Amino acid sequence: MTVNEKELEEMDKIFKVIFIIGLILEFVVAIIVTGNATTTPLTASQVAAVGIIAVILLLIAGIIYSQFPYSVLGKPVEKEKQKVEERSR
Amino acid sequence: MITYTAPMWVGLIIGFIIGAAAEIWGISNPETLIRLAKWEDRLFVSCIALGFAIGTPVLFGLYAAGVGFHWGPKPFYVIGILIGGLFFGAGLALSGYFPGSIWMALGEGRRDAVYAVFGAILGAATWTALYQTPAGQWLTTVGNFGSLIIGATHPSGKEYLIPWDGLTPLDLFGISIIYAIGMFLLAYYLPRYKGGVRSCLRANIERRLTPQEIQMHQETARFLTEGGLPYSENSLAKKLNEYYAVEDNVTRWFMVSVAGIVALTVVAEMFLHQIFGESTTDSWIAGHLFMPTFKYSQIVFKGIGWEPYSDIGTLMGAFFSAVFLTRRFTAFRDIIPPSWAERFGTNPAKRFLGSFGGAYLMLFGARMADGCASGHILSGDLEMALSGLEFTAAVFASMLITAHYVYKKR
Repeated sequence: MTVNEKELEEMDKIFKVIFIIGLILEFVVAIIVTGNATTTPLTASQVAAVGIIAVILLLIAGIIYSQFPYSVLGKPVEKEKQKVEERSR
Repeated sequence: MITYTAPMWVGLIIGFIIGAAAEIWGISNPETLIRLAKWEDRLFVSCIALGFAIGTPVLFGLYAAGVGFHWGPKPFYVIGILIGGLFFGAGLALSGYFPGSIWMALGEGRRDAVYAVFGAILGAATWTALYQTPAGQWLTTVGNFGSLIIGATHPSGKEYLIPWDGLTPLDLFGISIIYAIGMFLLAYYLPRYKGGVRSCLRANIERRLTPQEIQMHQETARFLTEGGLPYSENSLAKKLNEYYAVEDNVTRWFMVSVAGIVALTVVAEMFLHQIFGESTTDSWIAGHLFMPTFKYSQIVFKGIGWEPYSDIGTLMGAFFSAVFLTRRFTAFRDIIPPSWAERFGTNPAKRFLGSFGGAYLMLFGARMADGCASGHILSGDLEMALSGLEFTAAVFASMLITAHYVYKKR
């Protein structure tokens, strides 16, 4: 499936917005779940509540940016992309 | 004495700053560290030496002026740190990762970082199992001289140092100036590239490069951006990837400022909460997942600071940088570091073994030595800790020897 350049740009912009929202959410969640504490050791649930947001963002980014052409020095490189695809098979 | 302890969530911000800066440097790319291990690209050495030249006198100057810090030099147990450093260096040469750069590489969308995460957790779990045996106790107790820095002893849990006989905090500041001069000279005279003649700083001042150095710049820009996202001719990404991160004639402000940002962030972290560390989180995860009742896990659970948050912050900082600034996000494509491909081919299974196995050795060594590149090298050497200096020497010796034999052309 090929995606045109305009669509890619839109997806890029959408992801950047999602990222910023996710990042702010991480800070808010971290403040809430720790109760703004300074010295209590972190618990697994406190870390998981923040970490899960990072994992979700990575998954979304992986899906969105895998649609973009394989590039070297910022320029799409077809041959290299083919090589990678062959290796993946 | 002026002291302050920041809330746990601030660890996210500290990690974010360091992750973003290091991603721009290119340290999240395993090829960068494999080239360091092969002694072909010494950017990392120049960067941290410059960081110490800036950060160490600031730290000791503020301390002499009455500012309290959460000091954290690791205990100087000679045998465990030596053996741990040797494991760490070997693992680094194989995987191309530090414990912290694994999180950065995940933020850059690198597939082999996923393998490295599992190897790292398993390596940390192995040390957790070994710690409570007689062998583990022997490694951490025999030849243990306590928490020492050059010129002083650090009493556990306190925010002050006890200078050795006759010395004062002002004397420690003087020692830090001498230390900083040594670090600056290292950064100034060590050529960045193998076969090159000038360091980044010298090339900047003399405004000359050899043809081989120019070729190395181009190669570096190429592997840093391989498999990344497209960017336009006038974009910030082009400047960062093709000039700032690789060209020496702009490092006058770029490299010095990034080295300074990282070092001063570590100093700020020591003021706000604790030293900067990355590998404790792997022991913490291993403890929660598989071995909650083990003695070492109990110690980690009790003593954990904001490391899990600073690790998440490191990932997010590199992620931000890779998407917004450098455009190096690789979307988990199967990208093999060129040095690895040249020696072992492009088989993903072999790279999996290198990444997983290398990270396993590295974390096993890091936990044995009670610290990693962040806790021992970055924070420890910045504090002039003897344990950090021994660990650094062991890591570099092992890394260079391992890379010499593993990546030797046949």
